Order: sequence, then structure tokens, then C-alpha cells
Amino acid sequence: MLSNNATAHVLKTFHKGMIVTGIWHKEAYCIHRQIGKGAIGTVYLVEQLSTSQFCAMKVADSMQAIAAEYTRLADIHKEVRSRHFGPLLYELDDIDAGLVRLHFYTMEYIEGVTFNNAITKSSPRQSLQYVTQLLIHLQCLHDRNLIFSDIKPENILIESKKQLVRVVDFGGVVPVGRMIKQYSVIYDRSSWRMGSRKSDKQYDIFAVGILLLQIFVSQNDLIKAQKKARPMFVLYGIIHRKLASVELKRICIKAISGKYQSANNMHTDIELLLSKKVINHYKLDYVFWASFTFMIGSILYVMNQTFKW
Amino acid sequence: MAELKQVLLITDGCSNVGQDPVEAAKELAKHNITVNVIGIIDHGMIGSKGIAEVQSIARAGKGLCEIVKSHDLTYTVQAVTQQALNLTIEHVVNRQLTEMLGDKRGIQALAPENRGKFVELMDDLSEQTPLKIVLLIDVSASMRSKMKNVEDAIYNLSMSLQARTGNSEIAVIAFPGSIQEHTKMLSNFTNEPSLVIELCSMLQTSGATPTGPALLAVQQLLNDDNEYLRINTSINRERELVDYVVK
Repeated sequence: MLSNNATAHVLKTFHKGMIVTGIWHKEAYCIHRQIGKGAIGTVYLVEQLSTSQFCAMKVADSMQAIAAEYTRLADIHKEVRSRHFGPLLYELDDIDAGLVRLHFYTMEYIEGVTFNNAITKSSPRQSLQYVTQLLIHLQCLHDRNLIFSDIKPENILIESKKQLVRVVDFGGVVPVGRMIKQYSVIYDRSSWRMGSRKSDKQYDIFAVGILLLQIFVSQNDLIKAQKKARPMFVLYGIIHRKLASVELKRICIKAISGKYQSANNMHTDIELLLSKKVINHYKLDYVFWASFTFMIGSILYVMNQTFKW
Repeated sequence: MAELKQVLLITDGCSNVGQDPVEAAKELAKHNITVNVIGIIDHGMIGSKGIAEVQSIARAGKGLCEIVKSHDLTYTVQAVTQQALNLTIEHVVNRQLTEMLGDKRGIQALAPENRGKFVELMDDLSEQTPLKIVLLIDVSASMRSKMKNVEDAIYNLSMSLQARTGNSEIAVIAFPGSIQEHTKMLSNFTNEPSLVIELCSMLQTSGATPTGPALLAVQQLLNDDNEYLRINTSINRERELVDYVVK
């Protein structure tokens, strides 16, 4: 995160038990801990003293960034009242921190695990189901001509209660046709030298393609691949080697090469694949064939024994 | 709004030849050219004196200063450029708002709920205002191990800027240019994406770091690019003549 030294200094003094109060609305919050650090600010878990309610507070020195993100998220919520895939918003205010003026907004604290943690504990089938949920959310945004941009595991939470996929950090959201402001290199198609950084639906879908690949390939392999001279070919190589089913390869390649016209189309393809068969690694295929041959063998042996052929 | 002009200086050491770079940066700021500086800190080459100098250059040039390791360069070059752009726009909008409101706090005088509209305007302006940026790259010998990162950073910046709605042009200048010249133009203003510049062959081992003169050369380029071209060609002509005479 880029910020001036004074702000960095002030944020360092934020500690557990510290009380911060908004200048305009006079709401007081007790800081519990830092939850994360985004491109434009730091997020804390805080307790609103007047209600004893826990919420997340995003603090930054850029008034523009905080206000823009709050306004955008508020607009999205207004339009999609039924489905809250982003955090609910509470309030927007300033903090007088002596040397500098900081800006914050508070939102719902979503308890859950990040996408990366979730996939290590789930079957490939379950992980693919998370991806389909994410695609539904993206379609919702795309229908409003908005591109999420910064799709990465850290921004996708699986809510503990209902196993629902929620999206956080709307700081990168831009209308179609704008420059992508916020991205993470391994989910960014320009860094793979596979397209421009002008926002379109395919930019988001590319990132989902990489996420999907990550269910089967470690993040480190992708980071290494991207540093190669012709990263695109290395990426295709990984897809061919590491994805077991032809259908899955096809979906992944379509996603990263911009062949999907909408998130819905990718969603339909994955749903179709999920309805057809068990998604597994090669290894499990071997297990299946091994047990199949063993079964036939034992049936023949038993028949041989009983009927004395 | 008229076009915005920025210089991004990428260096890993102290200046040691020619005019004071801080004075040069002040001169640029007077002509509405923002000077941003990225100092590379890799093997402690830059030192506390170097850090102090790059910070003063950025302050004098009304720009931003970041001290980073070379592997963070790609991200930082793009982020500093974008942030400097946002700051300039914020400054301009704020000045107008201050006049309208008659309150010197500008947009901060508005309650947070009422800022949305202005923030949207700033966003639009950051995206649409034409931008001219000169990358001023230190190619002294100590930069050798960082050249690959600088090349990647240039490519990456061009990819981002060419996605903007407003016209964005990038020029790349290396310093020192050679033993005789302070600077060498590697790429004149272009709005092509995926800019690939080969830097390794540009490395200079003379030990000179003419940061000040390089900044002044940039000012010339930004104020009138055609004029710079003419001067440059005339120098080349002169050398051809010298060569001819010697032979």
C-alpha cells in the first residue's frame, strides 16, 4: 500500500482496545484487531460501542478512494436488494488523527474462510460449486455494466454459517471500458501478456479461470510460470498437464482466452460438468480402475470356487 | 482540463554531476510538471544520503516518493503514476470547490454522504485527462541487476496507461546517455501499449549520475517535444561532421 509516512505512522498506533470516534456522526468504535490490508486501506475488526455490534472498518488516508468505494457498494446494494454478495454497509465518516485526517467506512463483518483455505478442505466438486456461486455474483455485477477487477482468493470468503460465497473489497470495481485500477498479478491477464487492462467481462472471467485452475495447481507453480519468458504457453502447458477431464480443460481455456461471452455461460458449463460425473484427479481414476479389476477378479474367483468350473 | 505532465525518476543512487536535482525539480514544478521518484534500495546502495536526496527531489517536484526493492518495482511504478495523477486531479477539483464553498477545507468541508458526486467527478477526470509521462531511468553500472525489473515495469505501465480513456503518452529517457551526454532518448512519446525497451545495453560505467541535468532535459522535452528533437538531431549532425573531419 502506498501512503504518506504520516498516515503509516498513525496506523501503526492503532492497537487493540483503542477507541476511535467519527467526526461527523460521533459514533465510537473499539478496535479489536487488524483483519487485512487492501490496495487502498487497512481493515480492522471493531466493536461499535453504542450497540456492542461487531463490524469491519476500512481506514485509509485517501478520501477519494474510501468515498468512491462506499458510494459504489451502496449503489450496488440499492439495485440488488435480494442478494447481498458484498458486505452490508453501515456508515462513512472521518477520523481526526492529529497530524492527519483519516477516512473510513464500516461494514458487516463476514465470518468465514478465504477461498484458498476452503479449497484445501473441500473436494474438487465442492470447490467448483464455490466457483459457480462466484460466477452468479459476477453476472449480477456485469448486468450493471460493472467489472469487479480484483478477483483473488483473499477477496472471496466462504461464510461459515451457510457455506455461501461472499465477495469483499469493492475498491477495484470499475464501469466497463475503464482502466483496471486494482489487480493482483497472477489473476491479471495483462501480466500473463494475454490481453489489455481495459475492463470488460472477460477480464473478470479470466481471473475466475485462474481461480479454477488453482483448485488443482498450487499458487507457487502459477507464480513461477508467470515469470517465464512466454508465460502464456507455460500456462497452457499447466492446464493440459494438471487438469484431468477434457471438459474442465475446455472450460479453463475458454475462460482465460476470452471465449466466454458472459459469466453465466461459464456457470452453465461448470454446472453441466458437475451434473455429469465425479470430478477427480488422475490418481482417483487409477484407484477406480484398480478396484474395478479387483472386483471382477474376486467375482470370477468366487464363481470358480462355488461352481467348480 | 489541459493535459497533465509527469516525470517518473527511477534511480538507485545519489546525483554527482551538474546542477542540483532538487533545484531542477523545483524548476519543473514551476512549469506544472510533477516529479515523482522511485528509489531502489536493493543492496543498500542508495544509502541514507541517497534516500534524503530522492525525498527532497519529490518534495521540490510536488510529487510522490517511494523507496522499494527492485522486485516490487513493477507494481510501484504503476501505482505511483496513478496515485500522483489522482492527487493532481483531487487538488484541482478541491481548488474549484474551495472557491465555490468559500471554505478552505474544500471537499472535506462536505459531510461524508455528500462527497459521492465529487468523488465520481474526480474518478472520471483521472481516467479521461490526457497524460504525458517521461520515465527517467538511471542506467549507471549499479543498476545492472535491476534492469530486468525496470523493463518489466515499463511494459506494465504502458499496459495500464493505454487502457485509460484519455490519451496517454510515455517517453523513456536514460541517464547518463554516454560519457559526453547527460541523457539519451530511448523512446519518444508513444501511446502504444506493450512498450518493450531493451535497457541492458544502455548501462554506463562512467560512474556519473547526472540527475539534475537529466531532469532539466526532461523539462525541455515536455515543454516542447519538437524543439528537443531538433536540438538532438543537430547534435548528431555536429558529431557526424566531427567524425568526417577526423577521418
